[in-house]
Amino acid sequence: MGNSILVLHSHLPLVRHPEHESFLEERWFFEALSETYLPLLRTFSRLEADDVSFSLAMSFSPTLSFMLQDQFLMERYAHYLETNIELAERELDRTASNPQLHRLAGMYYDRYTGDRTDIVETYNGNILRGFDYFAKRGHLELLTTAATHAFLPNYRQYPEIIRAQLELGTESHQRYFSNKPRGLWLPECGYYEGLDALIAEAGYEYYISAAHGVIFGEPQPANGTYAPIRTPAGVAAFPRDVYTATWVWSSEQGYPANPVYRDFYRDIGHDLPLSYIGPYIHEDGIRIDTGFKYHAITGDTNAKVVYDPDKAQELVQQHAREFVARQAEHIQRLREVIPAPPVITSPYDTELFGHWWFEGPQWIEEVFRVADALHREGNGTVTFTTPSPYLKKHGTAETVAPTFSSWGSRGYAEVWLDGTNDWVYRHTHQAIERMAELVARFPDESGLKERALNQAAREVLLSLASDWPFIMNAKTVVPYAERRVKEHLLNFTRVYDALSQRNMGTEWLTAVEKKHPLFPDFNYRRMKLPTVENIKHLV
Amino acid sequence: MIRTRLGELSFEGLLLVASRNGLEPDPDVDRDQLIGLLTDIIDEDREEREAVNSKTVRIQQKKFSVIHEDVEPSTEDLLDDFVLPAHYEINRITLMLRDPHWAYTYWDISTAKAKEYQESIRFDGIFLRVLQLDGSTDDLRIQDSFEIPVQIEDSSWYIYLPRLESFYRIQLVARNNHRRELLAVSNEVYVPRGRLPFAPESMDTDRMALYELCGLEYLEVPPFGDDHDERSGS
Repeated sequence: MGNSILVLHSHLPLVRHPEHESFLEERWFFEALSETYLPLLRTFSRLEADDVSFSLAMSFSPTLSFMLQDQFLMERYAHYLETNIELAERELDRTASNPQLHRLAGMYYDRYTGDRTDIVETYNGNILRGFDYFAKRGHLELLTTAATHAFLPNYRQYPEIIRAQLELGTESHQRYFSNKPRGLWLPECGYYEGLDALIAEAGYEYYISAAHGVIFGEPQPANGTYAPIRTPAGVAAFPRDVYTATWVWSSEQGYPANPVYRDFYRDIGHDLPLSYIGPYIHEDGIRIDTGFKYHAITGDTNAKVVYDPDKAQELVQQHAREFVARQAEHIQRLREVIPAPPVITSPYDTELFGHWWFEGPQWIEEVFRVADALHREGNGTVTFTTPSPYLKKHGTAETVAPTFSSWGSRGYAEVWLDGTNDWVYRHTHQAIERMAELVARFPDESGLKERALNQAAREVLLSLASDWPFIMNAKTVVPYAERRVKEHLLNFTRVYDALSQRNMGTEWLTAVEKKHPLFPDFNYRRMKLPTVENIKHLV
Repeated sequence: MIRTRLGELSFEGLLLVASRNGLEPDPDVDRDQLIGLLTDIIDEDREEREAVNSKTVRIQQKKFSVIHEDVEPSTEDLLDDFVLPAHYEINRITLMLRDPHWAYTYWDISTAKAKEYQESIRFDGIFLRVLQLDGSTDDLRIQDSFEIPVQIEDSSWYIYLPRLESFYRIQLVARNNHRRELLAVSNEVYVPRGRLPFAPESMDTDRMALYELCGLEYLEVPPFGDDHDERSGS
């Protein structure tokens, strides 16, 4: 017998533009809702209804959690759904003479009308209630992450900022969910030597680590990546298993790459004439993904075959059986070579399931059904669990000092620190130092000044999001990422200058507070510079 | 998107972008040709980057994918007038570790100080003094150091760090009036070993079996370091 922990990390940066009638990048959030988060909740509901045992861990970033219950964004999501339902109705008409396409148009119609029902009737505009419900029922263990998902190694010289990021992660989580999080998702699994002391200080019991963060640690772990270690500061670290992860992650050989599954790229927003699809793409006539995708991956060809949901469902079941069997086999081999009870920790970006891999939520459902059926037959060799129950039962195996690492390309900070994005840090570091200067100059403010200082601190935190340098590195929507960094720094600078010149504008401040209303109880005084006294234990 | 952005630049701006991308266009190149060349280069770079990105990064990229075309809708707002300063009025240097081989450093020199140097006939340049230390903070002992000359116009640099398992700091130094002036000292970073502490041939069979099960070949980093990498600091 052995254990398997599935960890889904859920995050999007705050993207919220009330100053525009509609805003393209808000679709990141709408697509995630319709393609990943609502399908996952349906998966959990079906498993519960069928009395299937299931356990997994999910982390929710404070920015995504905020967005998932934000009335403004949910109203825009409602509009997104109405538009897509209208398009689905038109697609049902357009495809009436083609049974294959017509069936798929019906599938999307059912999906978007189902989303509307779930959002309005089941969750009353806040799907976090759904995840909280499954957490309270013991199926989900909910983790949090750093406040604005900063890549922490790039801010290591500012322990107070790291503290603020970690503490706000917990506080924000408790605002949206019933329980205090015991576990931390490190943004991008970004770790540096000494961070464990701050993680422990912020009250976390464990975090998820990159594999080499533990394997390259000191001393070398006797259990490799198959048991949590205890860091010198006493926090547990679950190393990511890269061996089994390739079965799912790999874009070439992984399950999601199978030609039968639905293609991510081919979308009617790019295929159909502008005269027809015009109302459902960007208002400037720019073609975008509509979410209506009718083709299977097929292979390395533009001549894609039409997607067959029945074939895909059969394959999902086959892949789920195979995954559980291979994990059982792997655990069996591990038991022969490691002293601790093996646990396979498999973290994934939640949007892999549904957004990228359309059938991903079905696959998760089938994995749990297969494992549950095997246990009921007395043949279960893999037990799906979550970090806290595992730690309670087995504890940590050994003490290891983890090392600098991330789960990004080439394993360290290169994705977030290269020629495309290094310019950011001169300015974000300066903003951090100027914010500390403001705290020192205005330690006891109240009223308008305190509001301004709190907002300035929020803007600094928002500028630190790992997403902006990530996008610059990926060279996708670079102007948007640059704009966001500049926007937060501009807002901070306006407060900084206004406080120096004593001319704070109430109207402007209120508008910014409304636009970026995260962390309502945040106290700017946390952004002080550290004293020698409160960092010497970190050295 | 790239083509649209390039189209907004002046011809001089395009030449600057070309220079930054290592492109030396013919002297008689026209504007449209230059935009075409730059678009190709930037696209190729992006494709290459995607090809080497890890699986986790490739999936994350899909989260931020809405448009497939080479266009971007415009959003007009105040930000277009907000320009981040090229430097801040402070003498400061910061060191950031990118990986166990490379660090990034950026620095600021106040306008007054830069002007003083530029006007001094005895100014003999700026350099970075890279210090390898054998302990952290209170017990600083310099084990080794080397210098990197930079131009007064420079403000950042990528530095190859020659020793693993070492602490590093950087001093920003000017040579002026036949003296060395220390302008700023960076924060300290620790460079980890970044690999397993033994060679593959020295592993016993149990450890070999364990690491095979751990999937060392799927790690984002080479588990035994680069072949030429023999930089242990101890």
